[in-house]
Amino acid sequence: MKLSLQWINQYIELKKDPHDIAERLSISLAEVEGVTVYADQYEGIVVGKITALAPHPDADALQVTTVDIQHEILSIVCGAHNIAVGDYVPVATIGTVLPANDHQEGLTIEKRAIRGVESEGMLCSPRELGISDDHSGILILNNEPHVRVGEHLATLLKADDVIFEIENKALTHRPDTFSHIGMARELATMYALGLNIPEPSEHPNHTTKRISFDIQNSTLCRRYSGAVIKDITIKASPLWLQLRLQRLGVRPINNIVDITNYVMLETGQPLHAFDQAKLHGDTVIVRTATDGETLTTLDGKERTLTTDMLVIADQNGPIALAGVMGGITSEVSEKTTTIVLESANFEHYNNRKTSRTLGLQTEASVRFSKNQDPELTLPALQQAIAMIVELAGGTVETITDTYPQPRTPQQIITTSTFLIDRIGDPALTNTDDIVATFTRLGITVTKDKDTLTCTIPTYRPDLTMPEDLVEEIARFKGYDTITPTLPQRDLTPAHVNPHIAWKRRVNTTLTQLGLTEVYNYSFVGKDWYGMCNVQDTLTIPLRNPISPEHAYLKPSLLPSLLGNINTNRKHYDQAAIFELDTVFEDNSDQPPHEIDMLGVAVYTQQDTVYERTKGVVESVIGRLNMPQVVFRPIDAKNTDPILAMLHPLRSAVVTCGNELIGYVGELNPEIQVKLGIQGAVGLAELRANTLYHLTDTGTIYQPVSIHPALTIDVSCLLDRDVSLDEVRHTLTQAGSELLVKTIALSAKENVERFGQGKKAVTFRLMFQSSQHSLAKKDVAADVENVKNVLTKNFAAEIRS
Amino acid sequence: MSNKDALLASLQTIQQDITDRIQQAEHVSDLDALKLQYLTKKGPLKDIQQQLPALEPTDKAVVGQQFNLVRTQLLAAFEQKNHTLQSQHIDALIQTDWRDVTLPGQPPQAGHLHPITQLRAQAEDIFMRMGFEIIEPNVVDTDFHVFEALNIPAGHPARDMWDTFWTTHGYIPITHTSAMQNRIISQHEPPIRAIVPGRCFRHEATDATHEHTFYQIEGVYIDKGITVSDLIGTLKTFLSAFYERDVKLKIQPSYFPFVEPGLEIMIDCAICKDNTDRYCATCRGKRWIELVPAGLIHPHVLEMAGVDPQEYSGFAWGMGLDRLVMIKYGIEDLRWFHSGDLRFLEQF
Repeated sequence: MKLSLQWINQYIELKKDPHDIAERLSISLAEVEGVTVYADQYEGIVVGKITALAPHPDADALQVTTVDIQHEILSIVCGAHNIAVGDYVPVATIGTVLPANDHQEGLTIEKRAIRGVESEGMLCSPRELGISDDHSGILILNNEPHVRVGEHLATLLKADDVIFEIENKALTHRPDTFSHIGMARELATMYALGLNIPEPSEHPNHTTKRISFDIQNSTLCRRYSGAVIKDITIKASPLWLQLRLQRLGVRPINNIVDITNYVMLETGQPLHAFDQAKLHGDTVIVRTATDGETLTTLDGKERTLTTDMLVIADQNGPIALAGVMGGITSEVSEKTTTIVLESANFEHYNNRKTSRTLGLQTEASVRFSKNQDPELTLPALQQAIAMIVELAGGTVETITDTYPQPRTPQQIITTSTFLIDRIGDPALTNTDDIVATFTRLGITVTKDKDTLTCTIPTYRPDLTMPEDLVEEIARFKGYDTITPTLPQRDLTPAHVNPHIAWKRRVNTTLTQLGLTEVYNYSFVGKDWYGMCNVQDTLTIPLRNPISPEHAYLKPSLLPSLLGNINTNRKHYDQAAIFELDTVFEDNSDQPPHEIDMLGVAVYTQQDTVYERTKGVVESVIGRLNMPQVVFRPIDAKNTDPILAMLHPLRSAVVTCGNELIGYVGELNPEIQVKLGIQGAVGLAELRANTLYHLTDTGTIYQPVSIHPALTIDVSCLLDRDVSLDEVRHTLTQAGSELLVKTIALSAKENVERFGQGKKAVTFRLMFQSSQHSLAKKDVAADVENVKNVLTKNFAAEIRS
Repeated sequence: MSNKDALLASLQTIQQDITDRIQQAEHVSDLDALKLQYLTKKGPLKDIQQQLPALEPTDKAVVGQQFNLVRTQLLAAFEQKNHTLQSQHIDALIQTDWRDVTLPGQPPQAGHLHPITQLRAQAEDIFMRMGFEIIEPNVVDTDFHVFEALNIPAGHPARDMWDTFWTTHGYIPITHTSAMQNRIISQHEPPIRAIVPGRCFRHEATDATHEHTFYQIEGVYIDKGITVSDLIGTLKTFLSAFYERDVKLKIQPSYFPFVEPGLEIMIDCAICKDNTDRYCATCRGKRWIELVPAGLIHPHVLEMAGVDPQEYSGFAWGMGLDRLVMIKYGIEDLRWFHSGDLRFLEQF
């Protein structure tokens, strides 16, 4: 929302520094995003009248003009030919510095001879004045109302002004602030000033029925005020009006369109003018569209409408999208002589929906979608009519107003105690102060001891309850003036979230192990997932992605982690990273399942990347005191699509009891070759939710035995795919309490020596007693037992 | 020569012999070999010891005494020589084992936590000390929790304030951590003190200061008699603890449908505090940094979550966590956070 200070000053006497005003606005209303001061821009430029024209003696292209600027007669050499004796023109006198723009530096006008003829100034084109891009001739001021010789151009154009740009978001609920009158009311309250809003002169209702109005949907069209004005002359608006609209972000078109925009910026009420000659039939109809009906809006786009969209129509079909944009067929043009002027009020939800559906946000829809006050339509119409009669001529033929259910002012009953207590600073204000502020805002207050009965003006639909009034007090006082307090509370400690504590424990463990945490987006794309062979894991698309790289909810952490390795390898020859984040699993029409995952990626130039990666996983699991975890080779029947990223023979599935924990393995060599990665990449992805539930947060202490341990190695042949973890756990359980631990020392494959699909494995059995030192005979039975279990349970062939 | 004299002479010879050889030893290993040769079960002293029982009692006493003396002296000689040799050996080691102590070390490499994780933990800890419980949000939530329960029904103009992502099934990667408010309020009895740190999403193009993925810390406080001044005091206390200085606040009115009144809290820029720098990467010359949108919880929001607004009031905020981090370190570009670039991450 842009605001003209000169305009505001028509309603209040605001003699303040613009930056002070900006500061005050930001304290009490909304952030001011910009302050543009237009001052002394046209210093030295006055209105002159050409009294004589003569050819230049030495140059055919030039003319010598005689210009009256009231106190002086100047002789000025001019290159333009659109001028005639009697024309009013802008004259830059000697010493003037022309405003700098895209086409010129700030040129200083000097008295100098042009081809031998002295020139005492310069006649200016619109471009030289920064009014428009037109540089085809001198700006002719003949049509400016009340133009007078010697007048400063700045006065004629009302050019000295300050424009504030105010952030809209904080005004989302405030339709009244999208107008200069509304803003003047706010500023009057801020500075405790009197507010003077002139009542528009009323034109009596005429009933010459050239056009009648048929409001078929009074739910969506809450009020329709319309007028028919004949015998108007379409032309450019006075320059001051064009300049003001331009500075407020509205493009000047012609006098009629400009006036509708001007009145909208003044009152907040959007208006629209139709060319009566282009209407079919004699009735303007307000109705919802029929399905598939089309309308070409003023921006030249054909819109296909649906039945919930409100339109203005004639007997042939829609002529405007109600409260959003007019149609091109009934557009006011240079030939227009009679207009139908609409000042209506449209229901805000429906208006917003139409505007959103069509992707068409306009100055009008911005105002209507905020629940604009229907009381505005008639005064705004009257104001526009007055301006049209003044600037375009014309006679009012018809004025009508359909307003079946007038908006009645709402009441809020509260107490000044409530308002003051809710702010929490008793020194901030008092009842009289509150009543004064409310009154300035247009709220009528009846005071009965502590009780305040507040009648809310119709232009403030945002005020519905006492809490809303708390804000009206606090913001005008300024939140910064409130003395901060802390809530009273008891000493009960906050409940500790065990999951947060757990995540911190995992984070700490991983960083201690040398891994660095990365953050990747929750959104991923097909290209990279295709590169990683896992495109078919993408099952939850976004309806409105920001880009193809971020078009799906991520099903896995691994592709992004591989991406991180791939970018970091430009600067590092080794890296170890992890991420603890949520991935998503499609849950048909229910919200997607959210699964916390722990992802690990290790990049190294050494051959032990699998062992390193598995070691990280084991360390984490060890730190979490989890029950026995088993690593198994990936079963060929496992169809988990994420396995396409992993090396089929150097990857393991990690389980705990019946629960899947995840996978750990080396990168599939095919992907590695595609990416051209030198070195080795290890990847692991573990289900963090499962890890969390299996975590034993307690620490179990075992007394340290003072007696030495006895170790015995057992070697055997096993099937290659047997999990050594499973064997170890089984063996440890098979032994007596003296067998405290079984370690897998080595596993070798050698087809010639051991046969196809076999491996030679050595287990180390560790025996220890808390009572005494152990001799071999003490554990002979255990060793025998272990060998039996190996043979029976795992089809092992004992080698020693 | 009596047997006694012969044994005494023999002892003397052995002593002399061993002592000489001890003196000649050059390495600890020579000494160990010598000790093994002479002082163990099969050595010459053992021979003499074995002849002792055959002597006359008086002779036995004399020879026995001398035997013990010789043995003790020999052991002492071994010990002394051993000590000398060890010292020489260590001296030699020290002299030859020179290291340039000014070469770089080989530090064990610990990893780094993401700066947002680190500062989130700091923020969480401060709020915990202030009595707030930590609650984690859903990443993808329903329209009800993201909008409706927050007093933003379908069609409400305020919906335009959020640029929302949608899944094809109509779920929303949360636009704000406020999506947890309804659950927090309905699942707890007042007094309620909770924070929700989480990842949020907005449909906007990414550049140095805009991200479609960002982080917030939601806060909710509900009790009897909670006021605007309590909200301001609580956030000032937190921010001062977080930045370890007495931060200055500037507060502007703002609008969010789920609070009334709504406000925007800014803190003073510590990067360019005294000489307003137009190009300050942190505040862009404004001196104030928008940090915490906040307000008193709207009575409708309390009602929808089953809390009587006549009896209770409360405040809520949605602090920008990534902004907290940017300000703390003067990070100039939001895009580093999701770059996965170790050159960035290893600095924290």
